[in-house]
Amino acid sequence: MPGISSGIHIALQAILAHAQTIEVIEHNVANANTPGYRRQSAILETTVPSPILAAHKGMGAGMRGGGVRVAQIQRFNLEFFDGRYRGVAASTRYWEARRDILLQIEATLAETSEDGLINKLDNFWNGWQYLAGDPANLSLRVSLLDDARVLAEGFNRRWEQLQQIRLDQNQAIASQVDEINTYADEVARLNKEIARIFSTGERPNDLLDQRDRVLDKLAELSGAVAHEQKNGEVMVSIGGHVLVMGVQALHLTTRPKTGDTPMVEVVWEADTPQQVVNLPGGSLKGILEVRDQVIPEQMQGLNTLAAQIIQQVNALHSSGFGLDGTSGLPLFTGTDAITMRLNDAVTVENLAAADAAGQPANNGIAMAIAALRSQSMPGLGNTSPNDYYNRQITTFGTLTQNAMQNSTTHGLVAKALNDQREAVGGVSLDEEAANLAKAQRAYQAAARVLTAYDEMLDRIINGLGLVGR
Amino acid sequence: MRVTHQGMINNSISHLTSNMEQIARLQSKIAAGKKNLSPSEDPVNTAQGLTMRSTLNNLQAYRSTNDLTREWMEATDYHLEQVQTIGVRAVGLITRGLSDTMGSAERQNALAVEIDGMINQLLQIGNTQHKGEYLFAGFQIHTQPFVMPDQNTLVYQGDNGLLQRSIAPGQSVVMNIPAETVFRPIIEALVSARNALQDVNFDRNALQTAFDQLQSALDVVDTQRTGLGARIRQVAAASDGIDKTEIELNALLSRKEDLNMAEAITMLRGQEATYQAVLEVSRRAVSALSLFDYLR
Repeated sequence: MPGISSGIHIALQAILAHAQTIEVIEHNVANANTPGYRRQSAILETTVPSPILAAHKGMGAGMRGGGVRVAQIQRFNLEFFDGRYRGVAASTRYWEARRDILLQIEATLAETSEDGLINKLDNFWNGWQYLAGDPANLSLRVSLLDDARVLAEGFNRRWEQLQQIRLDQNQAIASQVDEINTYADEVARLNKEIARIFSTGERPNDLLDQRDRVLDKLAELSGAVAHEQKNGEVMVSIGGHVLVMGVQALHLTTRPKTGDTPMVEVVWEADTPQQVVNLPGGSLKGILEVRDQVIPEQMQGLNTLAAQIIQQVNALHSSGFGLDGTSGLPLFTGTDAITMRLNDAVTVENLAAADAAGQPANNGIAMAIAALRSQSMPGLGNTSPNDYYNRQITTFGTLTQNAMQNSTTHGLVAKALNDQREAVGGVSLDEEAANLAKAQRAYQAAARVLTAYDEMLDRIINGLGLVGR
Repeated sequence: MRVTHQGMINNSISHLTSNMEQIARLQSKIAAGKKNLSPSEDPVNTAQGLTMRSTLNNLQAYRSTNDLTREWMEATDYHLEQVQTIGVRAVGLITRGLSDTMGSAERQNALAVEIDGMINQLLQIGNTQHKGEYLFAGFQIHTQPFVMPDQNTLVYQGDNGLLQRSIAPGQSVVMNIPAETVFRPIIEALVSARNALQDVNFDRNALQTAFDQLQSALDVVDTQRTGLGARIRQVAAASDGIDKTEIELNALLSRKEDLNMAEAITMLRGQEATYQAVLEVSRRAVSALSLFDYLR
């Protein structure tokens, strides 16, 4: 039965519903700049209409409406975009990590500067060439010995620098593993909260925002993928291995790498035996790949080149004769880039330029060694030493260029996807202003309706039954 | 598409950043005057540049070798010319000695003494040093090549070694001459001539034989000097070749590595204009009023 009290109730409900709407708008405006915040909106719906049928006599027609209520507070998010974004973000971070280390190596090697190894090779060959022009000249011999020492040191230093860069990655790997573990714990904690609130039928919007943000970070670090379960929890996995399941997080850890001891590798902590983590993407994968593939290839190239030069130069040098008739001395000791040294026993006097004893003006060996510069060697894939190293620089430059281009293009795609996410879930202040105005007006109107009932009650209470007063 | 305020601000920032990045890169390029600052910007170009630089370095070594070689060869040539002059004078003297008009005293005193002087001159020439090294000793550049222990015997202490020098990639040249074959015949011819002249019982035939020996010795000097001249021209040609290659390579290298300043500065200007426009647009985007300012 329609009555004044039910009318007041409807008006009150309207006032409360619109007040709540305004509160949601306030929350949106307050979080307009919060990273990862997804806008929320109060969804209004009519309450269940009064079950009393119009068929009752004298009651008027139809089912009467019971007013408005806030059905739920909706969160604007598209899981589809989240998944896409995380995939692309993982590859962006992968390429960026590669790019950063490669650029660092490029700067360290400084091949285009005076300090480049090519330059040192050139000086060494030229030293022999000069000596071939004047084989008994002592000052040329002094400077050639110096060139040879600089060349050996150039090889040593490059090799050490590359190894140092590899070693430096240990720290980066350890700190990223720590981050992944922390985030995994956070996801597990949020899972617990979210599932609890889900079970009450509510939507824990702000917690979902937080969890999405953490999942973004996990994807960027390790390429982790997340699947939402029915109860609101997410299951996170890296390369097919579970990282977070429900409220439980599994941890990663580092251990010395077998066969490459100063380096560490990333394994699953709880597995027995511990398995190496198979990373599908993310910055950690980029770091590990450069450390374990790109840099070792460069170092291998250096070793091959050094070994060939040591071998070929020594073969010629030890067959030659010094000014003092000494023969059989190798010019270099060592067998690869890190062990290569100028033989201490070689002096200005016994440096061999001649191919016969007691002939100070004989330059046979000097000419032969100078000619090694452009001689293709089977050990270097039938290229000359300079060409071989040149090719290595080119390969490395191409890798770096590739990483730079890929990080830019993937970054653009990630940005576009993020823009789309932002378009759906970001806070537009104009929109909030319009909604605020709408809610405010509705609130005012409901209050006015309440005033009307108030006046009606006033009439009934104070205006009726005054006859004979 | 819904555009949010935060999205707009993020966009502005990323546009500003990418513009700044371009400007910074152009600035470094202009400061360095280089097209590429690191190999990764253009790996192939860098590799070619490095190869050219190596070749240029190598050419410098060849150039120095060529200069040294040429000096040595020219010194040799100069001294061979002196040998020829002495030889020609000796021919004149012996011809006079052969004539019947000359008395034996004159032969013994004037001619023989002069020839003896020539022998000494030739010996000195044979022992010439060039920058402290004996020109005519083969590989034994620190050993005096010609010695006469007595006035009839000539001992060669050098080894006739041929000094090879590489003067251009794949090209080498012998820079000295087989000295013994040049000096021994001429000195021995003069020794026999002197002895014939000094002989109290003048044997005309002996002097004639010495004269013939001298003639053929001079032929040898001639041949060697001609050969040497041809080789000097070869070295000169190689030097010219190196000069040309060097100029060409430098030009190519500059085209590969050097920045086109006019182009770069124009690009920088353009980029700056873009940056200003982006700044202006961003200013509006960032400071744009929202609907809140208009609703009351």
